[in-house]
Amino acid sequence: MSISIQHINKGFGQFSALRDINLQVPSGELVALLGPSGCGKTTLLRIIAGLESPDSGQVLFDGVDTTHRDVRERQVGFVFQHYALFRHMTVFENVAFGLRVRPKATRPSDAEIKKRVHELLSLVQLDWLADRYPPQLSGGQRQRIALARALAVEPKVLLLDEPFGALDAKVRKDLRRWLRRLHDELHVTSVFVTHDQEEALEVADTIVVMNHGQVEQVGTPQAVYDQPATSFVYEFLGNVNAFETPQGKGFVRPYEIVVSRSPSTDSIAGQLTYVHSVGSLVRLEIKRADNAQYVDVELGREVFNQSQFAQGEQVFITPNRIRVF
Amino acid sequence: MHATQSQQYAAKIASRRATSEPVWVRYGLITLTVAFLTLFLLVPLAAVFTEALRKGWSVYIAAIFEADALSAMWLTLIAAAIAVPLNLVFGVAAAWAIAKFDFKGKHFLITLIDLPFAVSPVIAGLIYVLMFGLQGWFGEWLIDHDIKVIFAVPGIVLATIFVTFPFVARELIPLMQAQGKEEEEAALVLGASGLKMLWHVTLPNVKWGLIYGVILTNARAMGEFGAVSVVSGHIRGLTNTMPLHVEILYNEYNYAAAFAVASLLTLLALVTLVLKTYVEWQAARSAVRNEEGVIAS
Repeated sequence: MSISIQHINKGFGQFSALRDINLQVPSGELVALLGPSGCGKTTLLRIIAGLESPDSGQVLFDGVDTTHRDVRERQVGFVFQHYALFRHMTVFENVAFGLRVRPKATRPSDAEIKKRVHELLSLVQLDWLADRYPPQLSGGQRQRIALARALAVEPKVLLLDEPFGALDAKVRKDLRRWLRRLHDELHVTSVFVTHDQEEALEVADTIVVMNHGQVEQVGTPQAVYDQPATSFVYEFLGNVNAFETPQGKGFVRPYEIVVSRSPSTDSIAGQLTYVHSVGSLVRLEIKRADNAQYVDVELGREVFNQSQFAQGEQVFITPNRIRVF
Repeated sequence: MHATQSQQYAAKIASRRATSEPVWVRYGLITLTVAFLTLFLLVPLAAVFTEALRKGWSVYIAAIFEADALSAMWLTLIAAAIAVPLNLVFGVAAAWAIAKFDFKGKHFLITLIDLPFAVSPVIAGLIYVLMFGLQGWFGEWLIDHDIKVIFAVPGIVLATIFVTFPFVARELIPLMQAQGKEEEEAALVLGASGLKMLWHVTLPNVKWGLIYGVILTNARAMGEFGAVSVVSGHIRGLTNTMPLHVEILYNEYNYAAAFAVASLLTLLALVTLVLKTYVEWQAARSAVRNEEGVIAS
């Protein structure tokens, strides 16, 4: 099911959370709403779900206006940031909940519910936890149960609020890949909220970058990373260094800087204050001689090994690509 | 080897000392507390039962099964049977509204719920007399329609409801606020109706707090004296609750009977205490279980 968001505005008291948001989510896509905290991304997700209503504007599912349709009738699956599993119910009952609360006419039989729940638990690879209670599960397990519960009602749209936010780094990476594969299997239109650019870049088909209640840019991960529309997008999607240029403030990624021991025509002198050489990349911190600002530089290990810069050394840096907005 | 052991032992004692008071302070405080409790709680408790049984079991039994005493018990049970369910519903509704929604005047509502705690029970009774009594606001209308509120059962029930209504709400509000509304939202998104959400998600989550509130409400409903005294009129066999019956017997110098009925109220208090302890223990246990789960993750 496709989602279309048209001229959505939303305020909380004096604070304007969303300003004239327009967005198209094609059917079957996995979209990330990316932005810093307070940018309105969660509010937008909740408006799509029907948990919050916009002050003005419309939400269309497959071209049908659903702005005022009750959250129960929207057929969305929602995974909450802290999972919101029913703590007094077993994992099985949690997943079965959406089927059990249906009106009698459309409620599946107990046998069907049992079959369906076990299918879902196998899908998230946690069938063996059916009789446990949520407090007895790890964070990653809770996350997957929350997802199984949301999928039980066969949602047309799957919405996830910071799905990996509360997990530790290792689990987060595994779950990220797993979610991507699951989406490729199910092809349900999915929107997830995140403040982690790496997560958005790795998982999503399309990234919607938001800031201060507005959409800054919409595009594929490659597009928003390589052709950022605004300086905010550029800064938010990776580390940057700011340089003064005749055209105004310019931005340079840490790997777009050449470091050498001898000066060239437009190089800048500086002192190497710190070398961090763990992993495939070596990070250098260089203090500029002219304005005492620090510049972050990333070198491939091969490149670094050839020159072997040492801490405290005098070096010259040349940005080979400057972006000015 | 011995030296290190004794050193360790000394270090252990020292570290214990660092975080606790000197022995005489600890034992002093404990003695004081126990003495106070004995003097003001245990001795009177023992006195109630001693006095009740002073003239033997037969007098005790007779006092309890006397017609007016039975009718007082019956009225007490009726007042509690009406007040407790009503305040249960009201308490859940109020706590629900306050904990899960934002609206103007929320703090005023919380203050209002606390009013029965703040006002003297006698004043609470008087309010009803002023409203429903013969000279009260609705007095004439009530007489015209032949409805008796004051000096009758309805007045007693009203006064009981008034003095007991904060208990359930007061127990539930902090609990519900701490739990937030994500689980309720999850239930709604999954298609649950409001009632199903309340029954399957909200109430099970506050189960122990709710039971605790009901126990306190019941204890107060059965034991209330001041407010009920004002609206009752003390008509024997008709508008006397157990606490009022005790007072009447006592004023008639019928000590054995007075203490016999009082002993029933005392037993009620003891049962309440046991139930309360059990509920607190259960609630703590389920909290610990949740806590352990969080740590394990």
